[in-house]
Amino acid sequence: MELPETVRRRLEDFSRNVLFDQTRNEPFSKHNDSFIPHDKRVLSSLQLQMSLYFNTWFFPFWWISEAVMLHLKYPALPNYYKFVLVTVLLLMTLIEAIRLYLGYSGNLQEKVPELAGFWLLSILLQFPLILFQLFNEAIIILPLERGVHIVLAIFILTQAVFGFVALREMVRHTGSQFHLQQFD
Amino acid sequence: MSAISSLVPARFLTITAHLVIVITIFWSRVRKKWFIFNLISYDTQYSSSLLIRYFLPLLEVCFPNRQLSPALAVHCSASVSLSFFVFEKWECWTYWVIFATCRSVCLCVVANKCVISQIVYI
Repeated sequence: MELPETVRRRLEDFSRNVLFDQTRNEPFSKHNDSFIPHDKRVLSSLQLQMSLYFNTWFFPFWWISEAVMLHLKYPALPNYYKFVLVTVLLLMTLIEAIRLYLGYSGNLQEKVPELAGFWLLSILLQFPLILFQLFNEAIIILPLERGVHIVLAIFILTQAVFGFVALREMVRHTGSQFHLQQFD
Repeated sequence: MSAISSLVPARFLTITAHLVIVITIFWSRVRKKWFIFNLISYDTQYSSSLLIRYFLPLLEVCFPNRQLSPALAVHCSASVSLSFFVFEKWECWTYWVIFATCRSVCLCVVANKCVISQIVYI
């Protein structure tokens, strides 16, 4: 399952231009390894892959805990929070599934658009949602929910940090590869 | 090799289950009754227990040992015991018994492994 071509192009442009400013790169004469054509370095991040792997295993248990706790506290919630929490649970499930798939394919196959999509989904969508679940006391946060949300928040944070580092390395590498292709 | 590789997520899940149930227990309202040692102040007990309870499992995940099965068995037994502790409403002092047993088994295994590896390298 591939991302649509328009989405891939936009994410790739976003990574190159917005996230990492290519004009501030150092001249290539300072890097010895950039003179090697078709650099064979492995760009996949081990830390990011470990975080994604354990997150994938943890996600079903997070979902079961959250669904059971929501079912238990549902009668005690105000009407608007009933709707909000069910929507948040559905959204987080969908986003998590797409996010983990994009993270796996982007990291293992060293694809910049997928990894950028994974990073954006983590930072812009999943992170605010998990903070809402952790810090909004009005939704009656139960102790088990605190436990599982803390673990998921740690996963999202580590993926944001390691994903950013991996994305930066990949963008620099693909940039140097395109630059060297001009001399082939 | 496939048997060992399937132990890796099992080990992670048992450590996480242990961590989650400890967070659950200590975030519930009755946690102040559980510090029964009158010789040590409440603040000291709370801060030292935070360090031990939360950071040691995280370190275990980040820096894994090769001996997976003892850690797996210990964390699994700790999680099951703590679940019984919650659902069967055991006495407060039993938590510290479970904690001391599991931590001492973990430390013994790690210490034995270090000693054996030192002997092998000599």
